[in-house]
Amino acid sequence: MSEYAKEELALLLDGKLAWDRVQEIIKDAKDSDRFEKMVSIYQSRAAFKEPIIMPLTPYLFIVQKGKDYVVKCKCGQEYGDYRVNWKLYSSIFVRETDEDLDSVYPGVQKPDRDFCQVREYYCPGCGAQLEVETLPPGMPADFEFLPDIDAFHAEWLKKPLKEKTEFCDNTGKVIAGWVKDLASGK
Amino acid sequence: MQVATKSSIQQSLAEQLKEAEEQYRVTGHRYGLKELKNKETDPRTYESVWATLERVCEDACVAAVNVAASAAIGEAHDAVWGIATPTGEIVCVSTGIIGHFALPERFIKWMIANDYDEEPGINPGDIFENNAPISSIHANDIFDVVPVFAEGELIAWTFGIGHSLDVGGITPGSLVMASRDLYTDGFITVGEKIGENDKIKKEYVNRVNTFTRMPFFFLLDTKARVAGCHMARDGIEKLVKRYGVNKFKELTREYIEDSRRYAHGRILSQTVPGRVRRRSCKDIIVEGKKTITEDQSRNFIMLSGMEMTIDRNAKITWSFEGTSKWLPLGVNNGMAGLQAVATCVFCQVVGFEYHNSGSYGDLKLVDAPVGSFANPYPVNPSAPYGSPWAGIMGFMSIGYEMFSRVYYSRGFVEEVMAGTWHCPGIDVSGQNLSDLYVALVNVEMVPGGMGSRAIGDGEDYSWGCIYPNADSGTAEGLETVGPYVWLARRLAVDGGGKGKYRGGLGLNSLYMIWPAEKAGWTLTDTGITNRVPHNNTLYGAYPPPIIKQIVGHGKEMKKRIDAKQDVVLSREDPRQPGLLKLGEGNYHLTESPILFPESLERYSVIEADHGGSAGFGDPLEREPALVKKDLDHDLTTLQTARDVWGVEARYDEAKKEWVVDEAATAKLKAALLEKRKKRGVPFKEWWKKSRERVIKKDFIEPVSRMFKEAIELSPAYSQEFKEFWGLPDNFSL
Repeated sequence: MSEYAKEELALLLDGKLAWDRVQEIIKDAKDSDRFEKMVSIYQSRAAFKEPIIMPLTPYLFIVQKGKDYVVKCKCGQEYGDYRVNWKLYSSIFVRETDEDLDSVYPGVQKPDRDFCQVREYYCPGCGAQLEVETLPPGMPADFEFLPDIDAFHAEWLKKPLKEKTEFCDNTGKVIAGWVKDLASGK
Repeated sequence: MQVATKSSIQQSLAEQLKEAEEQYRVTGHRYGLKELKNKETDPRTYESVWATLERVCEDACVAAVNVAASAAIGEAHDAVWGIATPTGEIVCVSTGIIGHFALPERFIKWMIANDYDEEPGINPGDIFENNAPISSIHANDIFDVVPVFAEGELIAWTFGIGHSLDVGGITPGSLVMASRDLYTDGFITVGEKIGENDKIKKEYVNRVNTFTRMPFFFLLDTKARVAGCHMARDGIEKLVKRYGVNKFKELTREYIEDSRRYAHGRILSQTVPGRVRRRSCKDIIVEGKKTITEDQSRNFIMLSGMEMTIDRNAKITWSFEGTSKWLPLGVNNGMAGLQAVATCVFCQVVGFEYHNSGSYGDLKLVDAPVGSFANPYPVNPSAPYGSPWAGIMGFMSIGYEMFSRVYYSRGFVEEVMAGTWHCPGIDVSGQNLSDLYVALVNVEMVPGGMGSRAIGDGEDYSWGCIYPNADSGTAEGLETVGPYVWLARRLAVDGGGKGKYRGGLGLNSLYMIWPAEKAGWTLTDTGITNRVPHNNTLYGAYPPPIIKQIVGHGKEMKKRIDAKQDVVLSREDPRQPGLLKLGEGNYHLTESPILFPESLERYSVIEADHGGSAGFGDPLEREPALVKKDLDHDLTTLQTARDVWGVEARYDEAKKEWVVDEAATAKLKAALLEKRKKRGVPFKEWWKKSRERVIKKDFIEPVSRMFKEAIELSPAYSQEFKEFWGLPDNFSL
């Protein structure tokens, strides 16, 4: 079983490790403590203090906040329950004019607005571009990844979380609340 | 060749298969093998026999590709040979096309389900062939299987698969998209016994000679597949002579269970449990074009829905809810196509120790919605499938992306690969240098741009999701066969998904029609999009762009040749493609597909845009040094550097290189970040506005139709759609 120093993993994460060494890491048996070491690197770079339970993207992390598990951006911006699509609490920009489309898909690369929305999801805190979607108008936003953090920590890492959490998608519940707000004119 | 006795199939194949499935269901181990007895007690024999099996498969492959006539097999190696158990599970395979290696399992299981051991009978020397959707992805990918007997018992199958360049479909070539049904897809054998006593039947040869355009090529390809099967059979017989039937059977089963354990271990140690979900679309623009039937003459959007769940026991399920309805064009794929996706994705990003049916661990492949383009056959047994990579490539890209997300969350950033290429199928038919009529597809599309890594850009070319090969034959080799020549080939400027790390760029090639006086070209599909980029990307990068082919007219090119003007008009900038220099009226832009061959005169040039791959991360995080490197190699433009990556640079004429203006870059990046903060609106506001649009059904007809059909086919997607927009259950589009 391989083992790597945290400093070397930090270089790997930042794309700074020599390619020959990266290839060795790809080919060798995997290190069993990778998750813990990477979390520790992310934790040292985050603007928040809550413990990271799982990285979701380079910017977004599931963290433990009191008895809850919420999504936070590394800038500290909070997105709520990790079982709700974090996009519901992001800011969004849809490229719809020729000029806007042309600046990222120039000339013959330009999509057709009737067939496609280019949706950019930003962090309201730091402005990081968290995800982009190219989908026809009307398509629900993808909820790309919903991890089962309870099973992962308890059964795969053998280190159960302090608070148990059910693996379920709560996005619909939030939206149902929004629909009620609309009905009541909020 | 061993001789069978009447008692050779004591326990019927159906009984053997039922037993194997029950053993797996009850124990969780293939064939109920809780222990790998041979591996543990006699590892030397275990590894030695495995090495011999690999050699047997590879020898068959190397010899057979040299027998084949089709350039797709001979030059591009679009073929594979291997060995399966009596019940169809794959034991070992040669190098070659990854996407097909698992599919003979479906064919053999289909023969078992259809009582082939009773009728037509399975005897030594038999040759069975299939290219129907039972197991084949499209008619051009043809499978032959040969039974191997020892001591009167069926102990294995050998198989060979190869891509023939023409199968007599309604249009010439490899990717028939105009077809309205299977009947226009070409020459199809449905699990047919095409040979006995090791000899191909005369009536099969007659049929090929009558119903295909290039029978000489087709028949040599058949001989190549069968020759490889026979070579592999000889190798097995030698092994059995040395080790005995029982040992051979034990070992072949252990290799499969061993692989299952390896894949399962990788999932458990490198991923995290949970649900990954993606929806992606591609358009097919047919309105106003020549078609066979009226229902083809519309624009379509194919919606690929894909979800992966990894449960607490590290068992994986793939499902395809949301996938839209089958099309009256040759772009459908059966479940065989989705099996091919799983095969490629697991092979390349999960990895393997022994490459066989165990390599997908405990994957459960749920049938796609019945009636969708990914599973049309239960409701439409004649759904056309001439160019099925149209849909398959969307699923393929999502497959890589899904695994990348779980690797990233576990910390294995070096295993991330954002997706794969999407490209056109360009079939050109006409006379070649030997004055033979040939249809040749642009096989160079296969090794394309690779998805971005989490730690660097994707490889720009020579990466094949369906081949392990780094190339698909030499242009010079292909020129000796085809009716066109290569004028030039270059990396596609800004061809990949733009992000912190960009996707592999892929190629732009210029094909000139020559020596053919006239050639016919069709523009078909291995994932090409015209109007909506595939929704495949990671963490803030833009998905790779749509793909645009341009044709420069022969008369104008000839004038340039005579005037000794430059004819290598490559695409140096997507804003100003090179062929536009021919002037208005001397070129035309195309949208896929071109269903029926468009006639091109000699010297016409096709600019083939092969498409790049998905990117990774927020583009504003891209290191200016990487942007400079791309500028220095003419792989991006200053305008893109500014607009997308926020990098300001100037060209130093003296040093002949680009220099980044660091202060101006910092200022530009800050300005672009500020712009985002100003223009981004709270998601809830956007949701409210978009919901109104959904309620008003304010979409173009192809978008409405796509939603309507996907919702009708898939109750799960219907619920997801209505829940997301907060719509009542009885809402319809």
